[in-house]
Amino acid sequence: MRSERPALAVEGLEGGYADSAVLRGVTLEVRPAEIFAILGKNGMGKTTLLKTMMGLLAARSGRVEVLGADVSRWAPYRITRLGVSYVPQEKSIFQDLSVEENLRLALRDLSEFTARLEAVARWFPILKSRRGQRAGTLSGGEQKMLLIGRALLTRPSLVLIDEISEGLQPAVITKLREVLTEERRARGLAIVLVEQNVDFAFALAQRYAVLKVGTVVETGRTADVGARERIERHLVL
Amino acid sequence: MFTTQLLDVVTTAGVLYIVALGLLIVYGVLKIINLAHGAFLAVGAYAGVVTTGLGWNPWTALLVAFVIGVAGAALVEWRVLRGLYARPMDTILATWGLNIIVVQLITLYFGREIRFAESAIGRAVNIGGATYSEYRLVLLLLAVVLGVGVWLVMQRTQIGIVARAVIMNEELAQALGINTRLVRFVTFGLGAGLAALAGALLTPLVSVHPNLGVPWLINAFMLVLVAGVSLLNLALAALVLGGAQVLVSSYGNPVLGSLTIVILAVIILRFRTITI
Amino acid sequence: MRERWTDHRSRSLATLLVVLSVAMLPAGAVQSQDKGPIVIAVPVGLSGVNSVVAPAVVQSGELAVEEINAKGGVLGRKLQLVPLDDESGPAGAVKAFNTAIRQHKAHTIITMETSAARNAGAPIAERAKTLFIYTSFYEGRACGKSLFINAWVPEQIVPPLIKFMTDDKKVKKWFALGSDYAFGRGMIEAAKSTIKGVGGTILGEEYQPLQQSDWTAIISKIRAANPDGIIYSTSGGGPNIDFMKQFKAAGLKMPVGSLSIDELTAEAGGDAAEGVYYTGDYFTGLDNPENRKFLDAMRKKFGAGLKTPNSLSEPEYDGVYAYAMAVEKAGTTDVDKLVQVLPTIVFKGPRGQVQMNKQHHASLPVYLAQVQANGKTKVLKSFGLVDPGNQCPSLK
Repeated sequence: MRSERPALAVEGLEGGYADSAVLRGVTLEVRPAEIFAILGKNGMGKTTLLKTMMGLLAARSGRVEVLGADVSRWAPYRITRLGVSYVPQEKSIFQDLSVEENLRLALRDLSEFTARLEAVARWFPILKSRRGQRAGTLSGGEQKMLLIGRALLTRPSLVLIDEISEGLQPAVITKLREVLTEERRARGLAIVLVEQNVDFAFALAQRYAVLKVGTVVETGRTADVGARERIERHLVL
Repeated sequence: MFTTQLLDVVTTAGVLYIVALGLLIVYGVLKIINLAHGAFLAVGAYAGVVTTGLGWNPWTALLVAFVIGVAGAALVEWRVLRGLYARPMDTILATWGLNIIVVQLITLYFGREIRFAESAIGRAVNIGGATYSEYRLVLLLLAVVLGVGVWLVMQRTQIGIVARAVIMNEELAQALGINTRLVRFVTFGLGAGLAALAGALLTPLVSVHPNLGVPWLINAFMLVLVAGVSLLNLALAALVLGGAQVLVSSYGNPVLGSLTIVILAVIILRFRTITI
Repeated sequence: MRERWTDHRSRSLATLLVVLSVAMLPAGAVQSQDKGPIVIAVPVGLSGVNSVVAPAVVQSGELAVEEINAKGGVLGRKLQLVPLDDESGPAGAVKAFNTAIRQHKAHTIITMETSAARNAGAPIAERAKTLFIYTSFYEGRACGKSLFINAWVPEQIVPPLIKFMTDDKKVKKWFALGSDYAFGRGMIEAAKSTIKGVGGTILGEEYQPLQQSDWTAIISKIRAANPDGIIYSTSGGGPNIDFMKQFKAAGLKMPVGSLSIDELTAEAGGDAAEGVYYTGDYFTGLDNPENRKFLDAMRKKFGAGLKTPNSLSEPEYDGVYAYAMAVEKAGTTDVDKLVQVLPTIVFKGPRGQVQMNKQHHASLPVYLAQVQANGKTKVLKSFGLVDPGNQCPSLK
C-alpha cells in the first residue's frame, strides 16, 4: 500500500521572491524509490522550486505533498521530520564548524549518532577519519561527500539535491552516483536531482522534467527514445 | 596607583562584558539589536529592589531577575516579535517600543524616584597593596565565569552548536531540520534573562531608577557593533574600549572618557570595513 | 513674497484673536473683578525630570490655599490653585504660562521649575503683568520687575557647609567633583571660591557627564590625591547615590559634603550616603512649631497619598502665604502695588522667617544636616539667617 502514494507531489505551485514571481504553476510527481531529475538552465526556477517545496520560501499558491502529507505552508523543520533531506547548492555547509558538528546538526536524536556515522562512513570514510576537521578546509569533492553523508545520516525517504555534480572531478561523480543508486536500491530512497549536467542526471534518473521560465515544459522517462535530444534542445534555447 | 588603574581597567571591562553579553547573543541569533536590553537591565535592578525589600538575601535577586527577564521576554517574543521577523527594521522598532512600555510600567508601579536595593557586598579589600572595592572584583570573577560558561555551552553542547549554526546560516539550519523559531524564542529569552541578571548585578554600583538602562544600552550597543557575534571579540572589545575609557578618564577627564567608547567604536568599525 | 505672506497670516491671526476675545468677553468680565476667586497658577514639571518632586509642590500649594480659604480667603475672595504641566522644560513652560494667563486668567504664578523653564516663562509673566514667585533653589541672578524668589541661591548654602567642614572636620585639602552641567559646575565654582577664602587647597576637580553612572576613574583619582575631604555636586537624585555607593565600596572614608543630595534621595539610598553632610533651608526634621503644624496638616490632608515635603516643595507653601499676605495688605491684586508691598511681608513658616526683601530674593534660615545609617537626615545645627548677597543690584 505504502508504495502507492507518491514520494513527492507538486500541484500548480506558484511562488518566488517579494517582487518577482519565479514559479508559474509547477506540477510534478515523484514516485517512491524513484530518482527524478529536474533539468533546466540557470534562472529557470530550479532552486526556487526546491526551496519552496522545503518551506524555505513561501508559496503563493498551489500544493506540495510529501510522503502522503500535505506540507503546504509547513515550517521547514517539520517537513524534514517526515523523512526529507535537502542538499542546497550554495552555502550548504557550515564552514566554521567541524565535519562532525555539521553532521550532528542534521540529527535530532543524538543517541544514534555513532551508529549512523558508522553507516555513512562506509560510503565516505573521511567523514569519520577527519571528523574533527573544520568543514571549510575540506576540498570541493570532500565537501560534496559531507553534504551527501549529512543528507543520508537521517535515513530519509526522500532527498532533494541541488546541482551536486557541478565542478566535480569525474572520480567523485562516479562515487556519488554509486552511493545514490545503492541507497535507492537498498532502502527504497526517492531522490530529486536538480541538474544541468544531463549525463549525470541520465545515469541515475528513471524520469525527468524540464523546467523553463517557471513551468514544466516536458516530462518523460530517461529511457524514452529521443529524450536526450529533446532535452538538449530545451537547454540550448 | 598602577595597581588601582589596572584593576579599574579589568573590572570596568568585566562590568561591560556582563552588560553586553545578552545583547550579543540576541544579535547573533536573531540578527537584531534588542533595544529593550536597557529596559531588561532595569527589570533586573528592580527585582533587586523587591527581593531585598522583602528581606531576602541579595544574591537571590540574581535568580529572580533572571527568571523574570526570561519570562517577560518569552511572552513578548511569542506575542509580538514572532510575527515581525520577516521585517527586521520593524522588529528593532518593536524592541524600542517594548523598551518604552517596560520603562513606563516600572515608572507607573515604582515611580520615577530612585529606589534602594541592598548590596550583598559593600566592603573594600586589600589587593596587591591597593584598597579596592570587593564587589567590583566579584563582578570581574562573574564576568569570567559567565564568559567561559557561555563559551563552553556554545562550543561543547548540541544547543550551542545549534545556536552557532543559526548564527552562521539560518536558512541552512532550517533546511537541516532545526526549529529556528524555537531557537529564536529561547535565545531572546536567554538574552533578556542575562540582561536582567546584569541589571541585578549593577544595583550595588548604581542607583535604581526606571531609566538606568539607557547609558548601559548605548555602551553595550557599541561593544556589540565592534565585536560582531564573537564572544572572544566581545571580551577583547570590553577590555580595549573599557580600558581606554578608564585611562582617558584618569589621564584626561571623565567627559572625554565617556566619549571614548563611542569614538573608538566608530574608528574600529571604519577600519574593519576596509580590512574585511 | 515671504514677508507679505507672513504679514497676511499674522493679520488674520490677529482678527481671529479679536473675534475670540470679544466672544469670551462677558464670561471674563464677570469673573475677573472683585467677586471671583484669586487664581494662583502652578506650572510645574508633572512630566519630565521634575515629575518626582512636582506632586509634592502641588500638595504644598493646596494646603496653603485650603488653610487661607478656611480663614475666609483674601479680601473676601477665595484662592484657587491651578496646577499645570510645564513638562520640566522651556517649551512646556511657554505653553503652561500662556494657558495660565490667557485661559485661567491667573493673578499670579507661584511655582518650582527648572531654570530653563523659568527663563522661558518669566518674560511671559512679565509682559502679562503677572506676579511670579519662583520657589525653587537655583543658580542665582535671575532678575525681573515682577519676579520674586523665596528659595536659596548658592551663596546661602555653600559657604556654611565649607566653613563647617573646614572648622569642625579639619578639612584643608579638598577634592571637588560634580556632574558636567551648568548648575553642578556653578555650585563647585562657589565652593572653590569659599575654600580659597578660608585658606584651603583644592587637590583635584573632576566632572562627569550626566548620563555616566560609573565613577570608577574619579574615585581612583581621589584615592591617589588623598584629600582631607570631598565636596561634590552631581545632578539631583540617583547620581548622588551612584557616587556614594562606589565611593564607599572603594573603601574611602574621608568626610563628604554634598551640594546636591536631598532628604528623599538620601533615604532611597539606604546606607549609601551615610555620614554625608549637607546644608539646606528646609528639612522635615526641623524642630519648630510651624514645621510640626505644617507636617501634621499635610499628613491629615493627604493621608497615604502624601508626597514627602522637601526643600523643593515646601517653599510653595511659603510663597502662597506671602502672596496672600501681600494682597491683603495692598488691598488689590494689581501687580505694580504688589511689587511694592511684597518685600515688606515677613512670613514665619516651616523653614523659619522668610522675607523677600533682598533684591527680590530672601534671607533664609540655613541648617546643617547629616545622613544617618538608615538614610534618614538629621539636622545638626542652624546657621541662622543667611543673606543671598547681591543677586539683582538693579532691583531694590
